[in-house]
Amino acid sequence: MKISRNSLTDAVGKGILNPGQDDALWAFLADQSAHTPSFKPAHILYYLGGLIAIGAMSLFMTLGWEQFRGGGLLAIASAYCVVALGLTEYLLNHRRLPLPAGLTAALAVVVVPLAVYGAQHLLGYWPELTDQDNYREFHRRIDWRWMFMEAATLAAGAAVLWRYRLPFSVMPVAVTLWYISMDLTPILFGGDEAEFFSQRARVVSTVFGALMVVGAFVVDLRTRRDRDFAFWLYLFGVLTFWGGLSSLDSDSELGKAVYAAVNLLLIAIGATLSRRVFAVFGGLGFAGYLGHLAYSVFQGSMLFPLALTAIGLGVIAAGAYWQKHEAAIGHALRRWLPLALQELLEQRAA
Amino acid sequence: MNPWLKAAAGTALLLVPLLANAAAATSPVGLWKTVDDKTHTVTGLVRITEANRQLTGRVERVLDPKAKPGARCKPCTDERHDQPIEGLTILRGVRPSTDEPGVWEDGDILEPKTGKIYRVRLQVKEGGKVLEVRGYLGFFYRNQYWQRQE
Repeated sequence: MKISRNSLTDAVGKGILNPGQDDALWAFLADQSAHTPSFKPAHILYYLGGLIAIGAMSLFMTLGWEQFRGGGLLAIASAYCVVALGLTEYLLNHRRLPLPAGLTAALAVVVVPLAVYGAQHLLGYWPELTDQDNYREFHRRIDWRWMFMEAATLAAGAAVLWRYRLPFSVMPVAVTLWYISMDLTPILFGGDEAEFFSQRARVVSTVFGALMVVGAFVVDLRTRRDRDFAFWLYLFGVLTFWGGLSSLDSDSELGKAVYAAVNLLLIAIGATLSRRVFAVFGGLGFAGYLGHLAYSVFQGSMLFPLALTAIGLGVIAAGAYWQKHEAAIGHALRRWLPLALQELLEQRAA
Repeated sequence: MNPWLKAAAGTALLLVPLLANAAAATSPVGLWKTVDDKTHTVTGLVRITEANRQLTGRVERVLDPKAKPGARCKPCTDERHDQPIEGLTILRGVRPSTDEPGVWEDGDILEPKTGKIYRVRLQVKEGGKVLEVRGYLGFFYRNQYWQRQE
């Protein structure tokens, strides 16, 4: 539910609030939401600046920096980390600005793999690497040898979260877990497969993504009265799970139907938990399945478009019924859930 | 013969193998051994040829001890479906990069075992002895390293 300034003025007009109460209530709500990310110019500038700085030290790292060699990269990354942590302390303790503090804390975590990469070069861990295998490839190349950098990033992320408890610091942790889901298979099964992207690696990614989603749910449940620490974990967990699942071979029509059912389940989970990411990926997957039906299975059918239209209208009718009886249905469904989960759902739906 | 001409002809003859070696050091053309990253066994031989500035690679021999004799590409989905793996074209449309010298890209590679096709990038390394074969899945990639046979 979104409350606007006009809604409060209308409430005064209808006698629900006394004149003056609307101003006080609006000031109270504005103060409460000042530190919650929203589409405000200040917040957009925070995130734009933060993402540029984070990108500069990760995805947009240039090849020129390889000239600093191991020791130079380690020193630069360590200096960045110290400065970012200093900024976080300053923004949090002196300026009371948790949003930009979360971004600088995330920057401190983002430079950790660069520091480890520099240290590994210094110790001669990458002897076979040539000019084509540089730090920038960490974000694109699937290779189990990145695992030390990833483990160090997770440890740094956990330390930063323990120290500052800022939700945006979860972002580098979630991205790193996504990378691990791709690099993990050779470690689990002893060596790289002959194929580029083996079926086993795809299954590992799918299972890892499902575990990330479960982990995100546990975090969501445990921080239900706090800020949103689960957002990034849900986002990259669903991306990992859905990406792995969608890349799996399913030669049979039954397999494809199961894939469609899983995507519908994702939409249902998204609706229950009020998390759009499930609905977006579930919608994409289900649309892909419908495309398969239209272009392969029922290519020459006259009835398929009519049947699909009827199903679509049926779903709209179900939505209309749901809206009319939402309170009763919600109450009936939530009755069966544990109290903590009931509280979480009410919190997120608000 | 004029002694200067003799010397020039001799120098040219000496340069031919050097130039040939230099070409081999950057060109993926030739016969390559494919190697299983996990077991380090040679799984096959692939011959890469060039025509009209485009590379094509065909499986010359299957050496994988686990492969069935006369195996066919059952999982392939295009015109290569059910074709014998020996003789199968697995690399095609690979062109020299306009940005990176020594890099060949824009083509695709077929994995006969799975029938999957990936965007590919080739680069000869280690003085022509190793071919880095990069397969892409969206934004991400993995490398295989083939060894020069001839």
